[in-house]
Amino acid sequence: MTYIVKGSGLTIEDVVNVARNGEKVELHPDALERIIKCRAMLEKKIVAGEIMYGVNTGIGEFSEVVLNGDQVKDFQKYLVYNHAAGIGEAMPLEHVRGAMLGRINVHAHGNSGIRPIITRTLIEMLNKGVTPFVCEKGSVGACGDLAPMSQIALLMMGEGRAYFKGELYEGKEALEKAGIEIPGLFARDGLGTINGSNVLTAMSAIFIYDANRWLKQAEIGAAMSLEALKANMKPYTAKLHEVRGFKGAVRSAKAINKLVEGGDLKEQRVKCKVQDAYSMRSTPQVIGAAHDALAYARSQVEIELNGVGDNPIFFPDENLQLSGANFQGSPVSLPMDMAGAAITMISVLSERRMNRLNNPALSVGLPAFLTKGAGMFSGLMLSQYTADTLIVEQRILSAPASVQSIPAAADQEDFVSMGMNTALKNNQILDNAYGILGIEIMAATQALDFREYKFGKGVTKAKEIVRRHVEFLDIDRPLYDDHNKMKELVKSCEILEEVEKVVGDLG
Amino acid sequence: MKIHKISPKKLTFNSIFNILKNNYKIELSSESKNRITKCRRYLDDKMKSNEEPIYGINTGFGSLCNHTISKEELSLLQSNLVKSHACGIGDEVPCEIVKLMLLLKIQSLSYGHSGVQLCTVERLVDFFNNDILPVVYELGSLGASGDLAPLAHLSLPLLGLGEVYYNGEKNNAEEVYQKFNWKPVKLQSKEGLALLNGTQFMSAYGVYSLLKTFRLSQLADIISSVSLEAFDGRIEPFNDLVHQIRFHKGQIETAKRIRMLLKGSEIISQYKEHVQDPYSFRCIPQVHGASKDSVNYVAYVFSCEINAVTDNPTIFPDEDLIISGGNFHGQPLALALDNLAIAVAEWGNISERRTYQLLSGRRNLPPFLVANPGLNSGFMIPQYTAASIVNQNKQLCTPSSVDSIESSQGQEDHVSMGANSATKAYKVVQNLERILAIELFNAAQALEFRRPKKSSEFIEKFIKEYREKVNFIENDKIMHPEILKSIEFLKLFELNIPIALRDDI
Repeated sequence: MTYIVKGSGLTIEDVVNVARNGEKVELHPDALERIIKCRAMLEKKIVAGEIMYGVNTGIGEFSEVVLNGDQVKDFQKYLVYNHAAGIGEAMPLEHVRGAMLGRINVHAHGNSGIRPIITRTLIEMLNKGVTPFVCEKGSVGACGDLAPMSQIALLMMGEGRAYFKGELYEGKEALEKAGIEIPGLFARDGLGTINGSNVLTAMSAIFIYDANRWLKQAEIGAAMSLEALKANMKPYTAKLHEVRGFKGAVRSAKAINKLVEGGDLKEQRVKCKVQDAYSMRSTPQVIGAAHDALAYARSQVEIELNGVGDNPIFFPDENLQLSGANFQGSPVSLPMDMAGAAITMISVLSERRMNRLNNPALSVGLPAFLTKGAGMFSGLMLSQYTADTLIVEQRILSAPASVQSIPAAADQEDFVSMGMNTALKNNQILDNAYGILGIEIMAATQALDFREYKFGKGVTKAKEIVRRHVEFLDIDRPLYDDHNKMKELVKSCEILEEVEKVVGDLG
Repeated sequence: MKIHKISPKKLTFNSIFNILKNNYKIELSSESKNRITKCRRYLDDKMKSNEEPIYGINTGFGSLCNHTISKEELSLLQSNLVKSHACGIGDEVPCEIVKLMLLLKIQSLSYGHSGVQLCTVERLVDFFNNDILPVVYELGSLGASGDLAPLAHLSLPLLGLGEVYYNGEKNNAEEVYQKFNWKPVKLQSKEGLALLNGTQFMSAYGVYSLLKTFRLSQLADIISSVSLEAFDGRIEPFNDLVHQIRFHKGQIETAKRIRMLLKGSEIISQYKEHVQDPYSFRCIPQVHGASKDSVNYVAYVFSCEINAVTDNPTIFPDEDLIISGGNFHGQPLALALDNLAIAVAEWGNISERRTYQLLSGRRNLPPFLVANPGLNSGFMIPQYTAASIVNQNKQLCTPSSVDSIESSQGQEDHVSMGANSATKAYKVVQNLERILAIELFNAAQALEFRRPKKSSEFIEKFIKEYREKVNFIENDKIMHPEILKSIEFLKLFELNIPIALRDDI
């Protein structure tokens, strides 16, 4: 399969396929035509000596400085040099690839004024696996992701560094090895490569994809704990959620019902309480709230993936160039701060269920800390501690970045989105969430091993998968290996995929 | 006298706005009455025939749910419930929000899934119509099992207990009952829970804040247009083409509105020496628009909630079912309210930056907008005030929804904390009004330095009205009253420009 870039219709799933799974990319002929047409208009204006921001003027606070013909090409070079000002660890390859795809999709509209070879080079790099080395930190998320995008743009001049087949090379060498021609940067090419929120948008797209799959596993974890805690299953009746009207809650209740279907609890063959605690009973309302928040975030991110996040922008049909601010990351950072908080919130819920499994006062007959040798053994007592510290970190990271603007560029760039900070901290929140949920699922599996009734089909499958990786804790052993395996297992989505094969799509 | 009929028909923001603004009375439609009585009758029949315990109806509450209560004690159980849950504290909830709580509670009970008596709902309607407003306190709700403490305070006067405001005075409910010759409502089984379980405290704060935000979002566009003119900014970044190719609805609408507001301005169309403006001007559509999109999302969530049954347990007479679930759980609201605070804070954040730019001495404006330099500090300090408010807003943007503290012996072990999201979102909204007033104070001053050139007809009219309240500052004077007058102006200015809302709320 090859993904055809048209400037429209790019979904989060497409981003994941290209960025993570290495799907090939091709430019639609109409898009190429639009790019050529736009460039032709720009070149006419350059020849006519028209003054255009970022083409033949300085940028930011220097936008009043006009450059002469000789200076224009050097300017592109210096522009990319002085903006390649990031710092920190190497960004994961899939984030860089996602950003490149997003940039190509922006170009495909034919409003950027770059030369077609720039877009073509980005495509070739994606297809041949040349991925620029980009530092994670340095973007304020307005004027787009200038610093990280500049590290991509360096490659256009055969500079910077890039990964190729698992090795890090000097940019020129990486391109040579892959057989990609170096296009150089002419007027407008520099800014046209870097001026957009493509990195934070790609990161957000990938985050939403993973977060949705994590949420489904949170429903699996919840269903396992519910079965282990002999839950009253009435609160998951569809009717109850329909009268409140939230789509997410309706979806979540449906998923949980699917998971416990076929078990003794659902069939009311196990005696349960009149009413359960919130961490059990409110699961659809709470996870549903996160589904709704992610759905809103998805709609904003997909708009951004398919819009022209660039500046200045050229309109060949109107023979017009306009300097605006379509690089401003706020439309993405605002919902993404909420998306991150939503994952924290669901992690809190997961930890509370884990606490119930451990606490003999709350666990309806399960042994304290899920060990039968209490006293000599402490069972999963300390697993909860681990989950708790992960949650505290998540809570700290759930303070919004989007309200943290700091004026830059001598007050010309006096309001910025800080959406990159949102994207970075969301990834840490999700990374912790894998661990927290892994610990709940491990504890739930252990608890289910003490129960002798029949579990739902989905729950039974989930338990079986966990036991492929982590053994029953009969006598105490060091727990960190189990924790790390469980974290990786949740991250891999193996449980989710196997369970969905049995019970169908969870939403 | 205008009347709003309570019925299963959707309660919209528009209708709530009208009900509050024009002091509508409310009335239960016959359909709502039928639903309420049918549900109550079902419950009474069920109680006669059923021996099994039903949560909250003939059991204790919270972690005491496994204690069964005898038939004789059921009524006492309900009034005990209301009394024991009235644990609110702190500042009193503003009267207009209490009135909204009454309206929303009545709406939620009217669907006939709660099992209340008709006379109970009718007494709430009487409270609403006679402006008998229970004293409710700001602190005490965890936002799950709904807003227990505030709703207990809202319900005490049904029993002739607690305090109410009537004719602007605080009285014991008992005294008001004497005036009206009313008897306290005798609560039947389940009724206490129906009154206390629900999200009306969070919802009322949310709806009130949203209604105010809708208005402020329009004012932010108008005031930023005044600033743009005063700063001699460029109009090109507002060109529709730029926004049509990014597709965010809020952004497109904002740019469109700014173009409309500035149509016909001499200043905006004059020659500009600079090719580009700072972000706080140039990115108005992107930033204001992002907040509008978020507010739209939040409004959708609240639109669902105020038309929903958020009680527990919930009764389905047609299906012969009584289910104890968690529809009182405020998480959908908590997340939305935290997001509302962030979105609103952003309007303030960028507004303060424009105020700051207007003082910078750039673009041929005098530093600090001083008309007569030398002895005067001019507008140096109002920006400090704005900055301090912006800082407070940032503190208030730390989300409540990611916190949860286990309660009721672990039975209520995950709560939404949405009540705190609600009161802090409300504060952020109030603060935005102050920040925008300060921007207007500055921008109007700055605009005078562009004379004799004129802005658009709309802006000139806006400024003319403003000048009836607040004069151009020639020489230093006490600024505080001027800022207050500016806030007052924003509260009262009649808005006749299109709003940018989803059409399904």
